[in-house]
Amino acid sequence: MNYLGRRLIRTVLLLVGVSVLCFLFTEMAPGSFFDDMRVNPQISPETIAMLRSHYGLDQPLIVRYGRWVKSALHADLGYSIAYNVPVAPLLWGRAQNTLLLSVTAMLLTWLIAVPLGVWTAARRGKALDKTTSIGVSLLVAIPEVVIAVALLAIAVRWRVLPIGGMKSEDLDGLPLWVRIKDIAEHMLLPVIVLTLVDSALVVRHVRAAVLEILEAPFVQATRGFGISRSRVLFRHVLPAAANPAISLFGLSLAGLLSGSLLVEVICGWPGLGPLILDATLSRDFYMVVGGIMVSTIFMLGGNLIADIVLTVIDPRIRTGAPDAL
Amino acid sequence: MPSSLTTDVSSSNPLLRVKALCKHYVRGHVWKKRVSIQAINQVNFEIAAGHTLALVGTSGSGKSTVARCITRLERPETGHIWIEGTDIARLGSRELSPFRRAIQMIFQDAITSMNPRFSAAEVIEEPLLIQGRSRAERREIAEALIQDVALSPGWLDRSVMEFSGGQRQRLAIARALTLQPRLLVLDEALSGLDLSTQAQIANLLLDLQSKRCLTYLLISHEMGLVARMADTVAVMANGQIVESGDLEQVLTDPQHMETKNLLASVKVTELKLAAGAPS
Amino acid sequence: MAVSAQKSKLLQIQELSMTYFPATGNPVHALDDVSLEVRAKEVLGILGESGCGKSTLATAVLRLLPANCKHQHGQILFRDHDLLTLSESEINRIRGREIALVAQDPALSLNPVMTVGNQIAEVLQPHVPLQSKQRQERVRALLGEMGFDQPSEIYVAYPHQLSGGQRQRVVIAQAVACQPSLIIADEPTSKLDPPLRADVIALLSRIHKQFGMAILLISHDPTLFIGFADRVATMYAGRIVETGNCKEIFARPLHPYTQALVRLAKSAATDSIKAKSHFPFIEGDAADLTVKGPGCRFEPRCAERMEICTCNVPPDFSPEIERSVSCFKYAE
Repeated sequence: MNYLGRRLIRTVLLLVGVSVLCFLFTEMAPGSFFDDMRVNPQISPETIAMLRSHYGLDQPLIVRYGRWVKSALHADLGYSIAYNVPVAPLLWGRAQNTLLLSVTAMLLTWLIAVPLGVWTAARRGKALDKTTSIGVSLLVAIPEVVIAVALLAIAVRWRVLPIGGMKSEDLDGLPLWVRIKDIAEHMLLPVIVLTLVDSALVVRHVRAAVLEILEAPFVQATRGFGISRSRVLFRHVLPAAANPAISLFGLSLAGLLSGSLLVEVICGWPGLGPLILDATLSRDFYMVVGGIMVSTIFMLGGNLIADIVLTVIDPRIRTGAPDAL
Repeated sequence: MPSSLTTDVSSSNPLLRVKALCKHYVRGHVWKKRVSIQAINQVNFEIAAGHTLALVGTSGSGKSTVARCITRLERPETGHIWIEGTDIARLGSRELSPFRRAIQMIFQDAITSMNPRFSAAEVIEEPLLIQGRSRAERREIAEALIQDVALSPGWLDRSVMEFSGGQRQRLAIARALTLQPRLLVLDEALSGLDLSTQAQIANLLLDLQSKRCLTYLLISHEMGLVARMADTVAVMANGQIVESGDLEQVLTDPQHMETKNLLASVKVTELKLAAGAPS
Repeated sequence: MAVSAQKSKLLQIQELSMTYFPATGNPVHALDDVSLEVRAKEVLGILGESGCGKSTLATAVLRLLPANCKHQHGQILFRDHDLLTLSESEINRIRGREIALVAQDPALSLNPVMTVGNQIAEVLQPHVPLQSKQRQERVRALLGEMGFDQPSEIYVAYPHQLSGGQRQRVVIAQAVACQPSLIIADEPTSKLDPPLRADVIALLSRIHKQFGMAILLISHDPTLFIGFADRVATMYAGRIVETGNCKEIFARPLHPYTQALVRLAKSAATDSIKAKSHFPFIEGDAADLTVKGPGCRFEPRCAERMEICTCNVPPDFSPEIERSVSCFKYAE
């Protein structure tokens, strides 16, 4: 069995494990969806009991788990009590919005952070490096929440951007580019927050990786052949520094997809974040489980993509070198 | 391997005896199947107490693998490694600990085997920390050892980076001696040093051997070193021992092709040096 | 091989002094008034042990020294231009094209994530205008000349897939690619097994005859120079202590340090087989480059030291033609 095969099996096992834990913890969490109703004197206990058995919540946990797994294999993740619709389509719609946000933020992050990391490493100690260093430290220290709220406050103050939501009303019938521009405007705020937070970390790691490679003897040997500084940096140093950077890419992607949840809630972006939050607060059982599973799939997927990319790019891993990772 | 090429140098009580030692490594391929490489195959030799066995051969012949198996940095699949009668080839880690003190290894590039942030004292005392000695005791031992390797005790607090390559190798030797080992494995310990440093450290090792009755397994590709340090020689090629015997016998009357090749290249340069003329 | 003094001087190092200023500790006087010349098409050897400054000399010529190494005084003249005063783009034109450096450890001086063929091609790129396909052809031809049987296979190999000897040949291919007039080889054989060392020297000798470039060969191993170098210079503690014709220097070394080195090399021979016999060595420790005393740097270890050696640095004397010794023994 080769490396990828074993990775896939491990991924599947992980998903199973997460799903079991999901069920367990959601069940163990105090309260249930019907707590509000129970307090309401106008609803009789019999009605509540009937509702409970209607949604299958009176069955033992193992039975519920078994049935959930069976239907999950058919892409049916259960029923949402709160929204009164099947979980899967609702999740999928919201997941697309989250993906849109995350992928855009990720692309921007890496477009900005990689060159910045390389330049600050090449010009270590100079003005660019010092200012970037301060900026990065600030961004890493300040919690994501605070940055989001701060930018939100500025946007409200100066009314430059729409606050909350993904689209404006009454856009049907308008040409495509107007609709795209509208979505972009709504997306700008959360994307900026995510990009700022993530690029700080990426800049640091890329800088550290490049600095380490710059110490290597082969860099001096390359310069000794008269190759220009910028070519040495981008054509020789960066590929060698790619290994640690790509591992970070996997973590970054995984983290972005699950970490954007908080920013979505604050900026009012209709993604997985607000959905899972509401579901958790109202104990909407299958929605919670479904949401966590999707989040987990994103994270594992991100790591897997990173590992595949790393294998393809780093010849030491590809050919099984003795001192490769 | 024909037995006629291996002269019997067994003494009644060898300190180290190795028999039928085998080790293979698995090289991983991501797309293809994994490939197994036999590093050493059916290796036999023994070293009497207080003697030096030189293990020679080109890179990739398996010398370092033998060293790693004997010091149990690796675990051999099959075979026996007897240290004073006990077979340590497949012992568990707890049973192995008294033997780890008895066998120490000195590596090729001293700086890669020590923490560059340490001081000389910290490097030498490190093995003693595990034994739980007091600070005063450790310092005392370190001072004695650093003098044994011909360095000044005043330098104990200097950072490792301030020492030269040869001096660092002396520190490595001092560190190896802290636990009073019986056997030292010198894995190309003198390679990469220039001639006078090599000479000084080789002399130091010879003195330590007679003073402390140490046994050496000298792994080297420099025949000049071997000629003055070893009692017996074993030649390795492709993971096997192809010739072994007394020093004089192997060097003056080599039988196997590999031995002849190794000696031939050295002979050429020596002739050049002696004649001072172009070859 | 008589060396004609009329040969044009390719590289002239004049009274070069360089000092390192490390972040912690004392300044290191790596090069102290070094004067040397390399003539066109000749092989000059620099014999010295580790810490004598020979690697600093090699990297100084191509201005590859780190920022904390300051040039105190002196010049490096290459065809009458001082390399130390050139701009970055001017020196880049010389690197690889006119002067090439074969770095010490091929395992470390090759990029681990680039094929060796591409790494050789990269040397051609800034200096020789070629189409990509032609460049590949040129690299394959070069690999063939280095003695590789399957140049196409080697082209796409990565450094970790090659043996030590093969990597060394790749690094030499890089140096030869643009056919420079001077190759500086810094310890080309110290990381190789003894049987491979002769192969590398044979290769260098062949390309020397084929392309006619000058070679500056730096090593601590005296046996490399015999039969290959035209002239040899011995280096100790950042200074050149003796220069002369190779055969002469090894047959009759004049400077006490050179004499000691030659003695050591001869005693490392295997015909002195005697188990447990001590090695001859040079008394004392290698010179501390942070200390710059008033007298001869070798004096503390010299068996023939005199009063004058402790208070004066010996100038260069010429007891015979084409011979220069920095030792008071030869003062007139």
